[in-house]
Amino acid sequence: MAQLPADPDDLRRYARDVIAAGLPADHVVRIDSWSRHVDLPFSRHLADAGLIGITWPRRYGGAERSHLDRLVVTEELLRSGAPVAGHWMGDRQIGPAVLRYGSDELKEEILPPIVRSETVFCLGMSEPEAGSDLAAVRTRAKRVDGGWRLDGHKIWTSHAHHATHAYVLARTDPDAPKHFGLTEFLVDMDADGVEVSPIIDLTGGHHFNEVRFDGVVVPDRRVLGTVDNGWTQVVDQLSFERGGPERYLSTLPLLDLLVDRRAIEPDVLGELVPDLAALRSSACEVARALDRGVAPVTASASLKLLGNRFERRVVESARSAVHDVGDLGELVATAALIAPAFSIRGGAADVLMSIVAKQEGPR
Amino acid sequence: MTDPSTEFEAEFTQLADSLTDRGRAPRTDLVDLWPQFVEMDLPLVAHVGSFADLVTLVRVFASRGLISPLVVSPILASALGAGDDPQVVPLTAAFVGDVRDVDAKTRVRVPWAATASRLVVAGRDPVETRARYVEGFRPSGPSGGSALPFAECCLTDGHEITDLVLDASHRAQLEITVAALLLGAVTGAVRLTEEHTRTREQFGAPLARLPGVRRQLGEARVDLAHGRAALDRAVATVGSGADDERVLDAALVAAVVASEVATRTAMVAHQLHGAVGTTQEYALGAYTRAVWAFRDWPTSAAARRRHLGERALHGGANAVWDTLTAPVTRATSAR
Repeated sequence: MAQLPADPDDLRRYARDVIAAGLPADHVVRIDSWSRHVDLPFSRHLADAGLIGITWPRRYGGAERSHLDRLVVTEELLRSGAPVAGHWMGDRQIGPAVLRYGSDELKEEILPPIVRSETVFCLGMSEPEAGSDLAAVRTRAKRVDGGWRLDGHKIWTSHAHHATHAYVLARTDPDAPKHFGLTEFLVDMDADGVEVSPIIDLTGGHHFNEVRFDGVVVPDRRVLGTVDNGWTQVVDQLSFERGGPERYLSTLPLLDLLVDRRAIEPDVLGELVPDLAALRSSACEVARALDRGVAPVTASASLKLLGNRFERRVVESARSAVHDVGDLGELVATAALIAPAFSIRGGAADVLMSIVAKQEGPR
Repeated sequence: MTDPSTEFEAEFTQLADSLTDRGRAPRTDLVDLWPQFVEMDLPLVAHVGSFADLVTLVRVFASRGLISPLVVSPILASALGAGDDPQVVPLTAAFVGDVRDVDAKTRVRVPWAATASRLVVAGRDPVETRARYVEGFRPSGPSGGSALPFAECCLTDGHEITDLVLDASHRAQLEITVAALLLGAVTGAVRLTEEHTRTREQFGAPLARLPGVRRQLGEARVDLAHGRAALDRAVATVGSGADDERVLDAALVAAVVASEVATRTAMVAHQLHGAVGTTQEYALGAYTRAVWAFRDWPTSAAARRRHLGERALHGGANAVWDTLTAPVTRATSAR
């Protein structure tokens, strides 16, 4: 396994070199690559360089580095617009959730293949009748001999058509109050009864899917954490989902182009630079909280809200510049079509604001 | 990056609470309070502790409505090479378009003029290092009234004016303490607003139960967190060993964010208070006046943005990433 540089600045340079070496010579600048672009050979290239699962214990293939170090790596991946969607969910979210709540058997089974980029995870959270209201999921898991039988319908499941595994939040106690009686499962996507159908988004791209589970049998060992404790666990997991740099860096490759081509007015850039600096510092604070073992629920929600606002300003700034930089037209048009989703995916803005509003104010 | 909130935060808060009835009786005219500050060694950064401690002091005091010359005085004393001389304070500052034109007839707008006996006049341009030092300063014009701690003053032949260099590090520290003042003041405004919305009933229930009100309070908290992130980053940069240019960039970043956050959040505070917030007798006005007075001081928010934008265009995308927006990831001690 590759030895990562100890110093964060050296680690940043190392990540840059690895990324540059892994991208094809004809790599074109793209935005939102963490969400949209799967390139499994590139993910395996990162895995070979030791850049996946770097915070995880060595026994599972990780490097036992801090979340701050991971932030350094993910920042560089996002800035480059590298196609990382193939391993993003496993590395960012599923791995940490398994480490926190999974049995030893589940850790042994799930974590090393993620580190080697041999598996692709998709997230089965949203449902047609339970979008932002995550606790309203209707997908049912019923006890059967040796495991659980899963029946339900998930939607907005990015890259389910590439996925080897799905994370699924399902109701295991239909009589319990809404926020109880939920359980998390890890499901094989090639199991009998799993059906994936595509959803084409505004840009014409295909990353969303609907996934139907029709009598899918999930063995007991694939229960993540405690049966009926899914809500508590998933709230922690969402801190990993929301508090990362992808919430403010998915359009950075576009901003970089505007700057290097001097296609943006200094007054406008002078509004974006301070916000970006503050966002990057806030992400460091979230990473430090994770290093302390804290799930930074409110800080992550704030970061995502602010990141969404920043990204929309980047897109709006690019709109103004596109007349001067004609060949960027397609990129800007794509960004403008993706922008409405910024404040929906990973927790709708209104839901996040309600999390912030519940906290105690300044004293 | 260490947490710039220091061990003194609770102590400063207790002191400010005792002087302002927990922020309900804000004070910007500090003539009577200044001797107490001197007695407590607050004005000299060397006596308070680190620069991070000074920033905390300014922020905490402002959150209770104490808008004091501590924002500028310790930094100017340091620029004069008298950082540990209690006789040199209180010092204040004025900022003009071209410092070379400053003479005995120059009119300047001076905060805390009634409190100060010494004045530094510097250029508004953030990279201008030339400044003038006016000893024996006495305000000659009428005060700015009760609304702001500023007064229009005219320098006279009786003033002894000498040259002074206000280097980038001191300019940066001024921008950072002003950012702390802005965030502190607007934190006080939000605190008052939270209290008001919990106790004020409309439509048969406390305002805070209305979803629209809760959302606006949530937005204010998110904005405050954004401002603190930029402020803490700037303080950490001061102690990181970064060169003066980079420290000034971080300071201007903090000032831009603080200015925007404070403006937006003060408007929310007024919106949620309704008409009572617009009266002179109600405490909220003191916090708003502080934000309005200092959000474009020592230089305008527009000039700060332009400076940062030009620096970004000059350095290109790599400079934006590697220096202008880079977080401080190493442990620091902001002295």
